[in-house]
Parts: sequence; structure tokens; C-alpha cells
Amino acid sequence: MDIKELLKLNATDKEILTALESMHSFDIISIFDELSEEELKRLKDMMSTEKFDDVISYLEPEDAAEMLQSQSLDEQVLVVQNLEPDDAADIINELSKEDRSELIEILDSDEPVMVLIQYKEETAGSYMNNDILTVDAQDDVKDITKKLISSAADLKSVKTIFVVDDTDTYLGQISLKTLVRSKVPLKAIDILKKEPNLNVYDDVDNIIKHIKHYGVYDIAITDEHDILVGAITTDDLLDIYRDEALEDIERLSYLPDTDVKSGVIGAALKRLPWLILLMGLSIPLALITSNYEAILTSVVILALFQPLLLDSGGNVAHQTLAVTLVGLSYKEGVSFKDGIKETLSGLIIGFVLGILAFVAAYILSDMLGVASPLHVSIVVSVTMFLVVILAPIIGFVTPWFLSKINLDPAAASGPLITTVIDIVCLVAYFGLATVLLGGQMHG
Amino acid sequence: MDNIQFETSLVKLKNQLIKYHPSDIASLFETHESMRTKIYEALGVKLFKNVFILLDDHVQVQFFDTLNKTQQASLLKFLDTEDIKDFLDTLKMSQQILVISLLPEKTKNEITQLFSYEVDSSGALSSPHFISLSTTLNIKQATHFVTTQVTEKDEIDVIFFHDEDQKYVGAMSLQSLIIARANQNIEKLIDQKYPFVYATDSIDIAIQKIRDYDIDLIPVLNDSNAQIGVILSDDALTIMDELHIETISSFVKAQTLSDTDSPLKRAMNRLPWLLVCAVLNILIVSSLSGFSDVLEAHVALILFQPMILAMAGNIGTQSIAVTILKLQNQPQVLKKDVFYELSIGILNGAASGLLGAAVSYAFLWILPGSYDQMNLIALVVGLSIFLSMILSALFGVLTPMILRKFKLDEKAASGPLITTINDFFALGSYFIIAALILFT
Repeated sequence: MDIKELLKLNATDKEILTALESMHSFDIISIFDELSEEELKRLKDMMSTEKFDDVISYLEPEDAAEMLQSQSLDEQVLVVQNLEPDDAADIINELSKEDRSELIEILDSDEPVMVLIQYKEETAGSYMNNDILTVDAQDDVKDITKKLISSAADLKSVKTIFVVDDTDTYLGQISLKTLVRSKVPLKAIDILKKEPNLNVYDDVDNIIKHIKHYGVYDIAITDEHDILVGAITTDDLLDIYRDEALEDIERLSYLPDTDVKSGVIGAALKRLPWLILLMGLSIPLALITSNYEAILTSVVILALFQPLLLDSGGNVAHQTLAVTLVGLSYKEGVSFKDGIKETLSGLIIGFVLGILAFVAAYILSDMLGVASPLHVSIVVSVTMFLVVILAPIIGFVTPWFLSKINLDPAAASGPLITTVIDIVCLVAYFGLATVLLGGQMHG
Repeated sequence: MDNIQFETSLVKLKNQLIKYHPSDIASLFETHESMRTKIYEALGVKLFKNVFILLDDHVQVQFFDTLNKTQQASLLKFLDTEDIKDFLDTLKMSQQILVISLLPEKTKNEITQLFSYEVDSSGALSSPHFISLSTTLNIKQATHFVTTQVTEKDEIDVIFFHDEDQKYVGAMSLQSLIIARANQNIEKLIDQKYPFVYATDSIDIAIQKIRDYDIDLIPVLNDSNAQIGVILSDDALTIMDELHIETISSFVKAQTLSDTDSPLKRAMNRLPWLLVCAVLNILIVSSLSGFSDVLEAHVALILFQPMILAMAGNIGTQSIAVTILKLQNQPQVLKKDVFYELSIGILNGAASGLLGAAVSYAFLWILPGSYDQMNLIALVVGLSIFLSMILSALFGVLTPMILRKFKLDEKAASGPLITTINDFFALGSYFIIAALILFT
């Protein structure tokens, strides 16, 4: 029977405990949302410390911090000591300022977590685990196996053993798979494999590029002197990748962090700033348009083609933007060759769309009885052509430039590109119209 | 990497190459077309297979064709079954048969098995290289099996167990097996809570479980609960990456984002959607051309047209993205999700509408030249922003939901098409509201 029903039916602690023990910790946390506060507290109190630690490690750091805060300080210390240091560091960093300093004060300074909480967010240091199994290059297979067995109590899941020399310099790593198939007198140095490693200060973009290129494995993390300081394990790598991928899409869609659950009003407030900013960006467009009011008054049909031109430019630019952003997330990056390819494809697209716009504009203005349908359709189609050629260039250069000056290209590119394209489009459109159709203006 | 000397003996080239990771050698292999055969010969087939699986699809096919039958067969012998399946997927039917005919009998059967599962199911993407032991073994026998009977290809970070009826029981990490004492009862050490998926489950479920439960391997079972394969976390990353790129490209309707495509191919690839949008846009223009006398009477309305289009478009983008992200984790959009987005649409529509009205009033007031009925125009702008944003937010959540209901790809909802539909409603409400307010 599931926990929720057991709680409703007033089952005894023992019954609930048996149910809890047979559940995976991840499944336990997924029902937390549906429980009342008293029920949650009851579950928490009856769980063994080990189970509680395991459950905490699967929670989002914010939720885990909240749960931890309800414990006494002594209990908090115990939990932190039992957790993997990287999980513990994430949780400590989510605690409120007072709780955080209170806990840190009482924690032993050689607790592995103490080192980890110093690293800046989104760097390899903040993701890594420093509770890893290391052996000496001269250890033989038997020594290594012994170390593995004696460390079992502290290290929850080991898949990789790291090999260092006597100055703690990273030499390579041994997978358990290799270890079980090696026999004495082989030594660590004989069976190790040197895998590409990361620096403790590498930021999350580098980590993503690294795993996209080399695949997922337990990555050794070293400091600037090649001293091994920790490792990022595969389970964490998948989470890092997922978070970054999600962030990419959020940024492209003008969204705040969607992972945090919030009520309607909270979510609305968080999404509003982007909307207001984007509204602000549309004011220059009104300003430009107002300068060409004379031509608009005499040839109103021009206003009707405005969305077509703005949309086409925006669509083409965003296609290039997406290609470029994906390219930038690879180790190879993007080259100017890609930019040129994009521009050439813009030329072809511009030509086709230009012809379409010409035909459509001619038919429509003829139908509406505009004085010079030919001129109107020339204005519309030439603007279309120009904008669609320019769009890929802007869509390529903007993210490329932003990444060069170390800004996040996904965040800033969208609005910047849209604004630039819209302005160029309107100036070209109304400018051309004034030149070609100016003769028909009133007065 | 750039300082590799190719003009040297094979042995010397090999010594240079083995210092690098297979991924780096693969990049080198792709960029140095004339040196491909030399790299292959220097590495020898056993090392080369690690590079081969990392190559771009078309390079794989191209290079495979240059090998003779014996070389092809020996390369295939060293490849993992799931990698052979990946490779086969890139080939044409006639070539597939040729390649399959080169495979050893056992691999041939495994491949046929993999092809029998639906595309994108866990079964189709699983690897048959796993270890499953009987629960009747003791620790010593299990360890002996793992240390002596396991081949290079097998994944043994996690060892799986089955009962007498071949039904899956649970899993044990290699670490636990190594540290187990010989007299321990093996059944006590098996983790029976270890998650699994069925072969018919979508691959997304397998990936989500790998991520949620923090595991490296997930067993795949058939409908009689016997284990048929495993999915590795490395494959999970590859698939997540594909899904991510697919999501991003669907947002902009650029079908495939391959960096090797020529400009013409890129253009041809993207033109269909752009044309559809342009034609739709022209239809909008035609259907709204009846309002041109409203515009003629109040040219000021044209000034705020881009603002209204942008606001409707932006909130639409937000609500679509939220919905698509949600659908990656749950099977269907619920009523409460629709209300959630709708309420946000109403709140942010109201806020933006008020601001829009204020901005447009201030704008007309500051501009030189006189405008009639400034307050009414501001009212029209505000109301239109409000209404069109609610509509866009609603479409943003409904369109993916409806597509999902009809078993279509919900990601098709995003991108230029919805922008164009939103434009229609935004301009429509703008002009209608303007006609109602300014002409009465």
C-alpha cells in the first residue's frame, strides 16, 4: 500500500516504516508534495538517519535546505557529515545566511564539504565531489582492492579509482571493471588510463563542451598545478547537462527559472520583467514610424505589410541564431565559414521571399485600388530581400560577439537581434517608400 | 593536436596518436581527409573502433565503403551491437543487408532483435552487453564469473540478477560485489528496488529514470520480465543532447541543424516553413485590408502596431516554452496547467496593457504634431495588448496540448507558425477594438 494511504488510515509507525524501507528514496520524495506538514514531519521523525540522508540527497537543494533547517543543529551536522560532500555543499549554500554561518561554525574545518562551499557557483569546483578514492601509482592490485574495501563505509558508490603520485598529481584513473580483471603483480601505474581532466575553475560551459566531446565518465578535477582535488561523477554530469539545456530554452523563450515551483502571481511577476523590457524595445519602432507619417497617410497599405516584413526578418534571424547557439556549445565552436554559409542561404531565401512578396503586394494593392501598385510592390519586395539577407548576418554576429566578450549568448541574443532587425527593416521600408512613392504624397 | 606529423612511419604515427583521446582522434580523422587510411592503418582495427563510433554519420559511411570486405568484417566484429545498429540506421536498405551479411551469427540475431522494437523505444536503443547472474550463485561464484567470463564489451559496473524462471530480480554494483565477504548471502546484497524500464517504454522514460535515480545503467525488460538489455548513462546524454537540439530547432523551424550542410541545402530546408508563414501573413493582410480606412483616419494606430505584435508574440513564446518543457516530464497538459497559464496571461496582460496605454499616451503627447483623440488611441492600444496577450498565452498552452492529444509532435506548435497565428489575432483585435472605439 502506498504511504499516502497508510498515513490517512492512521497506520502504525512500524507499518509505515516497512513501506518506506521498500521504496527508493527518489520515489519517497516524489510524494512529499502531496503530504501535509504534519504528515511530512511524522515521516521525517520516524525515518532512520541513513534513510533520511539518502532521501535528502535526492531533493532539490532548496527543498533539502528547508528540510534541514527544521532539524536541530546537532542533527544538521550529522546529516551534512553523512551526505556526499558535493550534495552537502549545494544544500549549505541554499541555507539562510544565519543558519549557514551557524552550521559552518560548528562543523569541523577538515570536513570535505568545507572546501567545496568556497567554490564559485557554476564552476567545476562547485559540482565536484572531493570524497574520492585515490591510490598511489606504486600500489599493486591487491593494495588497491584493500583500499576499496576499507573505504566502503565512507564512499557510497565508487566506479572509478584515481591514481596520483606522491605529490598528489593526477596520473590517471582505473575503472572497477579494469581492476577486477587485473591480477598481482600489476600495479596502479600499469593499469591506469589517463583521461582528459578539467580544472577546478572551469565554468559550466566548459564542462558541457567537455562531455559533449569526450562523453560521460567520472572526470578528474585538478587545480592549476595538476594536483587532484576531486571528481565530477556521471550522475552529476547528466544533471548539469539537463540544467544547462533547460536554461538555454528558457533564455530563448524569455522565461525565468522554471524549475522553481511558484504560484500564479509569483510566476506572473517573474515573467513580467522580460515582457516590460521587450515592450520598451518596441518604443524606438514607434518613433521611427512616426517620422514617416506623411508617406503612411497617403499610402496606408504600407502599414498592412509591416508585420510580414518584421516577421520574416525575425524568423530568418532566429534560425541562424539557433544554429549558431548550438554550434557554440561544441568544443569546436563556430567559424566564419558557418557565417558565410548562413549569409548565402539568406540570399537564396531572400530572393524567393522577395518574389513572393512582390506578387502578393501587387495583387493586393491592385485590388484595393492603390494609385501605383508597381511601386508599392517594389518597395515591399526590395525591403523583404534586404531584411532577409541582413537577418542571418545579424543572427550570426550577435551571439558570436557576445560569446567573445564572455556574455551568455543565449540570454541577450534574442531581444537584441529582434530590435536591430526591426529597426533596420522599418528604416529601409519607409525610406524606400518615401523615395519611390513620395510623389503621391498629399500637398 | 595540430602538431601531429603524418609524414612518418605507421608505428611513429601510432605513438603520437595514442596520446590522444578517441574523440580528439575522431575530430582529426574528420578534418584530414587524405590521411584517413593512414590513421586507420596506424591505429589498427582494435583501437580504431573507438574512433569509428565517434565519427559523424556521413564520414562513417564514406570510410566504411573504402574498406575491403575482410577489413569491414573485422571492424564490425569489434563494435558493440548497439553501435552497429546506430551505424546501420544511417545506411540505405540495400547497404544494410550487405553489412548484416558480414556479421557473426550471434550479433546478427541481436541486431534483428533490436530492430524488432519500435523506433525510440527503450528496447531499440538498448545494448545486449550486460551481465545477468542467477540468484542461486554464491558470492565466490559470482566474483569468479565476473573476473573470468566477462568480455571486453560487457558493461559490468552494475551486475544484474535473475531467478530460475529467467525473471529479473534486481541489481548489485560491482563495488558491492568486490567488497562483499565470501560468506555473505547474495540475495541480501541485491538491490531489489533498482529501477528498470520495459522494452516498449519510450526512451524518454529510461533517461528520466537514469537521471532521477542517479544510476549509470538501467536494465530493460521484456513483457515477461526477462532482461533483454541495458541503457547506459553515456547513451542517455547523447539522446538528451539530440532531444535538446531538436527542441531548439523546432522553436525556429530550422529542421536539421547540421553544420556540414551547404547554403543551398540550408535554404531549401528552411524555406517551406518561411513560405508557409509568409503566405499566412499575406492572407492576414488581405483579410484585414478592410480596416484600412480606420488606419487612414488614425495613422497614429500604425505607430503601435509593432508593439502590440511583439507583446502578443512574447507572451506566446513564454507559454509555449513552459508547456513544451512540461510535456517532456508529463504525458498530457492538465486543466490546471491551462488555467495557470491563462491566469498568468490575464495578470501580465493587464500589467502590460496598462503600461502600454500609458506609454502610447505619453509618446503621442511628446511627439510634435497633433493627434486627435489621444486618450482614445491609448485606450485602444491598452485594451488590444490586454486582449491579444491573453489570447496568445492561451494558444501557447492549448496548441501543444492539442497536438499531443492527436499524437503529433508537440514541438511543432512552437516557432514561426504560432507567431503568425498570434499576429492574426493581435492585429484582428487591434483593428476591431479601434473600429469600435474610434468610430462610435
